[in-house]
Amino acid sequence: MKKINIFLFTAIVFYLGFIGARAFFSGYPFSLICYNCKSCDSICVIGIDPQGFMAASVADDPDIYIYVTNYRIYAGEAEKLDPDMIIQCNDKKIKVSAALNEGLISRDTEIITYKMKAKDAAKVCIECAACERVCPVKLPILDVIKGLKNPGREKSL
Amino acid sequence: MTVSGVVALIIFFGTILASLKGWISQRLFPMQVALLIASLLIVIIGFALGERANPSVIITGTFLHPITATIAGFILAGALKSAGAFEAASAWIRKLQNSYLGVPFAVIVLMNIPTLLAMPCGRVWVSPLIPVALALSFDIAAKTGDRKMPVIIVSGLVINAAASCGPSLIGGIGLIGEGMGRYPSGSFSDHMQFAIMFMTAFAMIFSKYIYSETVSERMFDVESSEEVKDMSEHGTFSLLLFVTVIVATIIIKPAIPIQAILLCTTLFIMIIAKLGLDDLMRGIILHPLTAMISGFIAAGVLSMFGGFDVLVYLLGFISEHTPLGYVGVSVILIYIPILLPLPCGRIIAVSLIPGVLMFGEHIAQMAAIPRIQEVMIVSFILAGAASCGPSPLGGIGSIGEGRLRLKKSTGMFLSLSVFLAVPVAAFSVSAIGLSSESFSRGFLLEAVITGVVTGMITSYITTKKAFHPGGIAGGLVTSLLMLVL
Amino acid sequence: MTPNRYINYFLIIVLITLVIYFGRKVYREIFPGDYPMVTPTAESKFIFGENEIIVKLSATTKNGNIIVYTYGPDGNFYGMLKPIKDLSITIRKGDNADFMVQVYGREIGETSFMKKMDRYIRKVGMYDLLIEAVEKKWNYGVQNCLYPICTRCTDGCKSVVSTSNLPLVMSVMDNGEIKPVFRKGRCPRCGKCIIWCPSGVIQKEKQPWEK
Repeated sequence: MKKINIFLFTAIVFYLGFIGARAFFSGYPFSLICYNCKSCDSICVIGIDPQGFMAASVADDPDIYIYVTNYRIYAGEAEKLDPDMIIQCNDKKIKVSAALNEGLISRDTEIITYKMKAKDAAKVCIECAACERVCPVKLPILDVIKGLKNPGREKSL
Repeated sequence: MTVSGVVALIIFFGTILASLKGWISQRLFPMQVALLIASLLIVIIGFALGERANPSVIITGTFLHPITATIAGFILAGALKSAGAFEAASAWIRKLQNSYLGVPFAVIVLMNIPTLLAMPCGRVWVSPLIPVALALSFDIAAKTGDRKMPVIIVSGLVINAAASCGPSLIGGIGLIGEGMGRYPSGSFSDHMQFAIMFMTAFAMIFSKYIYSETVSERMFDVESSEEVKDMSEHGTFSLLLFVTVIVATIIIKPAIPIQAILLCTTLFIMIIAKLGLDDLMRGIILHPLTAMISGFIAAGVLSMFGGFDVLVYLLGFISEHTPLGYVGVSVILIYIPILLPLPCGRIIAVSLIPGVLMFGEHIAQMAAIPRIQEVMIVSFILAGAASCGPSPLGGIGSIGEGRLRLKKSTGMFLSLSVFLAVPVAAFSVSAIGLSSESFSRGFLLEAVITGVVTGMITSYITTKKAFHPGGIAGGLVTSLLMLVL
Repeated sequence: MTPNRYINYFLIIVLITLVIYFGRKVYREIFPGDYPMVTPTAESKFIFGENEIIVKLSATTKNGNIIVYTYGPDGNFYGMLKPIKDLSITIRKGDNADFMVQVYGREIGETSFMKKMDRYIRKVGMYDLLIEAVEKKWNYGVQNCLYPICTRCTDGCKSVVSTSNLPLVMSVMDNGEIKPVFRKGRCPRCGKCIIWCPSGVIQKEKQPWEK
């Protein structure tokens, strides 16, 4: 039993190192500094949670879902972008593909998003840099957004 | 709502409960191991049920900030200890004790330092302040004969530090609520600070009158017989540097991570006091760190399989189909962080704030009182921020328990003090409202009442005299300073 | 420990604090370049229907979004960010304003955003407000500048020009649009507003030979 415990404790310590390594491989090691305070979230008018970009960098995964709670987009375009994107429809949070299949909306309906992939959120970001302005540690969030927008850069994320 | 989410939630709750109740032997499976095995079980069942899951969610659910803040705090504490800063602090506090203001003044100021100079993670303060609190408490115990004093003072300090990340304006949990709820920046801070002063006082009362365990005789003898060392030059300087750096950080709010500031301070102390790496390592305690990380992993797995979504769904279902209704469920929702105490309040805050906003709006519409939503979010954030105090998964409380060598968990009465302090914050918000402006008549009145009441409680517990001028003065100084800082 | 040593240590601490404080200040970066120029918004035609308003545009924008604005009964500026599809925008009943800007003549006051996360703090129906604006002859229209959502140009300007009297200010136009206005004499021509403007509204001023 002792050996199992030692193994799992060591695994915990390695996990911490693994996260650090992932952040370095993503090319944005500064994302490790993020306070997760969500100051940036309050300032984004289209409702993007920019901390999600930092999380995407730490995980080195542009496909994680982040909040984008106030972006208007046509359902057809949303489906094209990501059928699993979560939208707000009649006070419900539902996948855009499911909403289309159930006939709640048509492809020409303008919908408001709720959660989308970090790489898609970067595409809809208007780059106003309000998030950078309010960040208590002044993280260059826009650099990550630009990296996610740029397909070449995206590969390394 | 998915089946895997329900299973994940049951396993997660089951593991925590079994570990707390001792159904899972801590000798055989420490909490960290139990949580990792539970996470593994959730993953296996989730995949068996055909769930598609993204492992990156676990990584994104691991908040590095409290982990790194803890490490930086431990390292700095090690440096301060080796440089003799705690001896210097103890000597100053002894001087303060012998002054006209006396013991209550020293106790109330010391215990409220974490909230007064609120850091983004309370662990930054706990490590350096516990040795000072211990020295003070053993001193008082020797004079008054109250052997519970170390538990009382350390518990007060621990819950104060745990909740202090709530009102912190430099990246605290309060900012998450303000951010996600779109409230003015810093508007939660004062309400939470005063409630935390009450929380600290409640923790003192409960540790004195409810908690049965005292510090072991052996530890008592060792600490009491320790000779009073002279203030060393390096110790005084290190202490002065540490306090100045923290105060400057609070006032200037530089765009530098607090961890980096603490490490630079450590480096400076190392050079001045000629310390080596071994001296720094002395301060590091691995248990809370590993417990915190395993807690994050478990919460990440829970989130990956929709455990939190199930929780919100269940609350919605209960509110619509049981006599509890929306009001009853909202009260439960506010207290979920202490019912499910995770190593960092950020996990639960981020996961459940959308639910709190939804419930808050619903009740605000029902009662036609828009302020209800503000009351709910501030109360929830305070409960969330303080929840790392009683958390058995590597919460701040476990640092205190470890230092005092206590066998019985302090979680129960720390939770109780959070439970009673949350309505104080709720009442404060409902009476004054949310505003970034600290110097209103309402806040000044609240500061005076909080200062006097908590001062009297501290005086009574430490000297058996409720109207000790030192306690009241200490309470007033602390509460008024909270408006300024 | 002698008092002199205390003073020395204290001075070291003060020095470190001052270095940190002044280290935060952004350096002044000025170099001669081109004057900025604000591009006009595309022409728009509002077609009012029973349940929706369709706005036909003569051109799209850089990021595919545009602000639809109208003035309200309180004289303030209400707006929402809308996606452009096939050079048109549709405003339906139930579309709420994203923000409100207080307006005093040409000057602008405080901005308030109407949404917290996924729910509205205050609901102002843009369809109804636009219908009222037509009836009462208040200003309404579309604007390509994303103010108040974006304030990159003023932020850029502030990072270069240290005085409070900036060469770039947001001002209310005759048609009610809010756009940046430049005072050439004061502009250091650093180009920051041109580079930082994400919607491409601020561009390099064309020289006579480039026109």
